[in-house]
Amino acid sequence: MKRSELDLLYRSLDASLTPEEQSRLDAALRRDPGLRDEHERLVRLRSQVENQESPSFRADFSQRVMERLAAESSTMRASIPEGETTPDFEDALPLMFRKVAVAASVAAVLLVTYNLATSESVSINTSFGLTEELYPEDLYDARIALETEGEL
Amino acid sequence: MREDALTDEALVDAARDGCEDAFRTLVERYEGRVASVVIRMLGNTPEAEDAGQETFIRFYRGLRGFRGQASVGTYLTRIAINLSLTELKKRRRRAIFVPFTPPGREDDTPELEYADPAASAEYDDTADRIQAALNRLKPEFRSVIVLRLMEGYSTKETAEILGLPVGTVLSRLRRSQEKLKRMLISSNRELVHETV
Repeated sequence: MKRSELDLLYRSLDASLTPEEQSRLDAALRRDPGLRDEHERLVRLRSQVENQESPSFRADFSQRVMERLAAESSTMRASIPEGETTPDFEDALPLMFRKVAVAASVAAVLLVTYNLATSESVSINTSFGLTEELYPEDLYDARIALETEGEL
Repeated sequence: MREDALTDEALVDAARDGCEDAFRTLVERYEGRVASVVIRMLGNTPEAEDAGQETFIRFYRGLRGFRGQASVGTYLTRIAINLSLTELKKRRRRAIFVPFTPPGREDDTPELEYADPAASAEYDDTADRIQAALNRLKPEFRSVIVLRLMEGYSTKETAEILGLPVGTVLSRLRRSQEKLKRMLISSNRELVHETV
């Protein structure tokens, strides 16, 4: 029994084969008794599995679900002050993010104020607490260089 | 109009508007399908009943977001199978702390069906032997067999429910059938020996 033909056999039971693959499998089944046996075993196994009786819950399952739902709803209602309604997720989401956004904005303003108050210069970098960037030309003093080279 | 004569869509709309009877009708309509999935995945255990109830509770909570892209049955099956897989993971974690080797194990997959009485009973019936063999499959293999062969979903639907590529489902189907075949042949042999 070739592995590729066994692969085709398994695949034929759960997916559609191309016409070329199907004719290859048909030819292999005609030729190989081992593959035919395997095919029969698989079909029998699947039919046994497929025909298993469906299990079910104990009687009054729906009643138990409804009772649990009612119990969960009353627990939720109990945690909400009288006169207020349960917020839906869609309604609660912007409310929650509004609080987060306000808190973040206040924190950002305080941080910028602190950075500017403690730094020596006022710039975008210092307001974000970054050190001023130094460029080579800032370090180069033309006067010192000329003095060193004796031209001044 | 009686609730049980309404379509799923109409019942979902009514349940969304707070009609309890509509939701109860949906539970009654689909409890068989959910039972079939969770009991086959978890055995006939209290956890299966709990997962079944939780499936409908989650469905109820998600009613506002349910847009009907999938049918109610497929949607519930997806919740049920995910809850079952989560429960099996919990069992596996518990099994790590309380090692237990059930009788008659023959492959190296961790046993997951401790609570099922069939696991230790004599398998004098094909249905019991198939369920016992199924219980010994790893969750990822068990779930494809349950959905594809037992619940009758197509390979593509099975892949969608499990969130897997079709190729992965096909390869898991193949491996799980090979394992089932081995286990059933072996349990047949045991049965023959016991009878002799």
